[in-house]
Amino acid sequence: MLYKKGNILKIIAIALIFFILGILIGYYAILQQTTYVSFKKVGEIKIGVMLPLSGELGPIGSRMLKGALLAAKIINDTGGINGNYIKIIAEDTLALPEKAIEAAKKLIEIEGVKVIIGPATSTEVLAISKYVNDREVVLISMSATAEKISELGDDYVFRVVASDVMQTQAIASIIEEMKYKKIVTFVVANDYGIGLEEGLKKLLGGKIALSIRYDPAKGDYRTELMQVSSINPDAIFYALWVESGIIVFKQALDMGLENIPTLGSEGMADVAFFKDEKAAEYILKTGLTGSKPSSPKGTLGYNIFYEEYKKYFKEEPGLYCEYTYDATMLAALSIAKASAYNGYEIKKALESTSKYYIGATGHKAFDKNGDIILAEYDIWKVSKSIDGEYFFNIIGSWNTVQGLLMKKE
Amino acid sequence: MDYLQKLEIKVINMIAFILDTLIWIALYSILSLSLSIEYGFTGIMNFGKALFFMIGAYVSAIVTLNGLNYFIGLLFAILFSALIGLISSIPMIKVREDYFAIVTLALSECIRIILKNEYWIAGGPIGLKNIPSAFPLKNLSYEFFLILNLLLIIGILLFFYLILRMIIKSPYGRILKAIREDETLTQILGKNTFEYKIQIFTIGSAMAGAAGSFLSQYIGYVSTDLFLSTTTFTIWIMCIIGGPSNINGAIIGALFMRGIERGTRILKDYVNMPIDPNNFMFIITGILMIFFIMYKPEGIIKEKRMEIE
Amino acid sequence: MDLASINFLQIFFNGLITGSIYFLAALGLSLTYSLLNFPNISHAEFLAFGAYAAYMSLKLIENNFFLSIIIAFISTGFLGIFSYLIVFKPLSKKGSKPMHLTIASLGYGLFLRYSMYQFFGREALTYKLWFEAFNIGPIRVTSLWILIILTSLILVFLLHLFLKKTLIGKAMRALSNNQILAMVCGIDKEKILLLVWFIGAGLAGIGGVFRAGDTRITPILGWDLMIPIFSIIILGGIKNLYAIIASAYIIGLIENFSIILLTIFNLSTEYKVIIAFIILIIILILKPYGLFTKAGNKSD
Repeated sequence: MLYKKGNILKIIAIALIFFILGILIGYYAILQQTTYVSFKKVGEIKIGVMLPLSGELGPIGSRMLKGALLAAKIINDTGGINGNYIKIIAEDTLALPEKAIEAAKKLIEIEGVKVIIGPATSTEVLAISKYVNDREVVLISMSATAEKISELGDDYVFRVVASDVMQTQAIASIIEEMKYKKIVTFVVANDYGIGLEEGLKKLLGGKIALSIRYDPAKGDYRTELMQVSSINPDAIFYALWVESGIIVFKQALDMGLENIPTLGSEGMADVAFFKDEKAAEYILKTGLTGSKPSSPKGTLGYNIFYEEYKKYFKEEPGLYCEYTYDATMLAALSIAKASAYNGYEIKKALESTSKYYIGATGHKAFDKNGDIILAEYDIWKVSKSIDGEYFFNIIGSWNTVQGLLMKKE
Repeated sequence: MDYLQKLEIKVINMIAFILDTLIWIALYSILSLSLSIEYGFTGIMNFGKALFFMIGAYVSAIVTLNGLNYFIGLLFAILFSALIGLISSIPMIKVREDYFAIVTLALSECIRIILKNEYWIAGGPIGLKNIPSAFPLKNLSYEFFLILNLLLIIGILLFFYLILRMIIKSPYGRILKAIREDETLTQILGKNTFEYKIQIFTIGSAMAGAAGSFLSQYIGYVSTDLFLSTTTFTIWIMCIIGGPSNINGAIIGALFMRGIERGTRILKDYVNMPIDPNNFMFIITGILMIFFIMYKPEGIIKEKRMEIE
Repeated sequence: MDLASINFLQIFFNGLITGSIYFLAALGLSLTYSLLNFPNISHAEFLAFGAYAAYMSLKLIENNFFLSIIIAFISTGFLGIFSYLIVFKPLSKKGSKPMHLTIASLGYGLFLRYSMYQFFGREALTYKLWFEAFNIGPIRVTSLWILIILTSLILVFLLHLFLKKTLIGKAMRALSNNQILAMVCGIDKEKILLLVWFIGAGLAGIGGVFRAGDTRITPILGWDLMIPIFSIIILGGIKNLYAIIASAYIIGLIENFSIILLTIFNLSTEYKVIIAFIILIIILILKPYGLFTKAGNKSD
């Protein structure tokens, strides 16, 4: 069967046309927010940022980006790095591992970045870990808390937030302190929620009378909640993502669970829950208490960050903003210390810089796996101020050295 | 910024980027091809592609994580996906085509949910990491490493492409088309259409499994989040636009979709318009799908006319 | 787990809520499915559209939930007609096979969904309404849940009257049963089709509003429900509307009761979706053309 030469040429031509057409269609595809924030064009040092800028975690991610932008601005305003200015290049991953791979490729191959801040979720970090190690690009995540990331060992992946293994210890200590004997866990069925649930099971064992994992797409949790109330636990531990979490809390109030105290992980300490009246009432009535990676409000490091953030962005910083800030700062300082803009040198510089860096979120010294040595959490509780505003009141702290410390009323 | 300055697209690691793009196009070509043989040639509406893609990835990952050579992992992935394809199609194949679409979609989602929730099977939601690569990177330049991967994926693609071409040109292939056009008539003519459909479904599943195996060693990580139903739909879009009844069409479709995805991400930095690129991509492909079905159901590349030898 | 402490009445009531929403969503789909012989995947987006329509109505005229439901019904109904005239009618006139229509509906659904994302943004919205919760005996209810169940039951009844007593209803049944014969008898297929698309989409719109009120408004609101809806339609057999109504409630109840089983066996409650599906698979293996359809009636 002869394969005519004309046919092959036709196919190649069509293939090329199609590829170009594809890219041209991309040409008319757009962006409403600028991804380039360059402060001056003298000499540029690129730092890549990977965050969910749209999608379910979009609102949180876009605010986290501001933490990175602030760090870059502070460094650039004070002369940059030897006169070279930092350019933040942000890519949207929608918190999906598939998109994270694409975003990383673009940042590393097309932009040539050697340091990436982010991604925000653990599955994303794991999906690109081999790639960044192969390419020798430093990755500093601000919010990926899965235990498994520690198992990657001594490589180019670092994180400025502690593994959830630590957070479960903080939560378990709250449970001990409040003398709860029967707990129910109610978590979102993904690596975040399931990770926390499994961690708590290891620490608390028999105290957990029932574990519910819910599908965020389902939206129908009445019977599950009814199960919880029929067990009549001392407390319910929640680990949810905001969008489906609001539904859970709404239905919990409807199902009459407002008399059972509640506990939560850092995902619950989000002002977005207050948007919905029923969810807000539920968490207030049940005295939702929980842990979150600490924003040590008393410290100088945090205050500097907070003042600058408010001055520049004219709003309150959001969840993980300060962690993104610290990650970016560390990246910039490591680049400054490194003898070249090259992943291996930056990694070495990062390991030493971290030992003396005390940032908005405290000490950031890394261990050999790229995890922070000192894990610190704020213990918070939902409160209502005199003028009716809901807020998260810090009532204590937990860290790896001192354990649980509750504030005296 | 100066407009001309904007147009200057800087690709710092041009070779690496192009090689990687080609690898992804080849990977999705295999998937698109596997759907094409099922839908384009035999009329099987399989909405569960992501399932076999996932099975291949996980099986290959587990095999190689236990220390065995990658190619053994690849073999196991192909065989296992084929097996699951066979087992699942036997009870389901008599179901009418639109039900079949629904059932395959639901099956894909259900198995994904099970894998996600059960830690002990394969890591649960956090998946499996540190999957060994087919080619160790030590002492290789990154570009050379990519070339090896490209050769591997093109090898797999070529392998299946040639097999499919053989099938299509043979009398067996003509029967497939007959089944697609009018199954009842084909049955009257004495052919057991169910057997043919099961065989094709098995082959299509094996192909998706091979693609999955490559993916797992290329990324070094698998998780159920990489195999959502959106993946199945993307493969459908590629297949339809490229031309479902022509095996070259499958490749064109893959090229087109990856071109849009990559192109969008690069060019958004240079153009400012009111629509979000994530939305734009699907709005456009949605319209294109309708357009193609209406005016060009054969897709970009028409089906070849049958040759009687 | 103490069986005596389980509030079976509550689970039953919850099952009715789930079933009602499934019914509203599934009925419209089965109507168009039976007349045009293909599953309209973009039906999921009709649900979301209705939810957004109600949202806009509530923004203009606050607190009038009833009005927003009616507006959702009407506007989604028109969307249904529009969809039919622009996409599905031209295709079926060209003699497209059902699989082509299905694929086109997939593309159309994507187009609708991402247009909604573009227009309304990616953040989930909620109706700013408060539905009071209270106890009726041992059952915990809210005004919304009662509204959902009542509306659905009333609609079931109205539908029954419509199909059995009115001329148009009878024409619809005739057309669904045997198209050629019905047309020979002088039934105007086009008019009936327009009506069916209007009602089907409109009901989906109402279902979307209730679903959104119960959860939140987002463009993938309908998509979350698609697997149970398809299970219901296939189980019921596409043409048998009464069977579909029954299936909707049966599956709603099964899903809720299965939670008890799942928690006893310490399994993730995410699996409740799977249970309905496993039942579907088993039924299809035994009866490849659905539970209520005889093999001879498989396609027109």
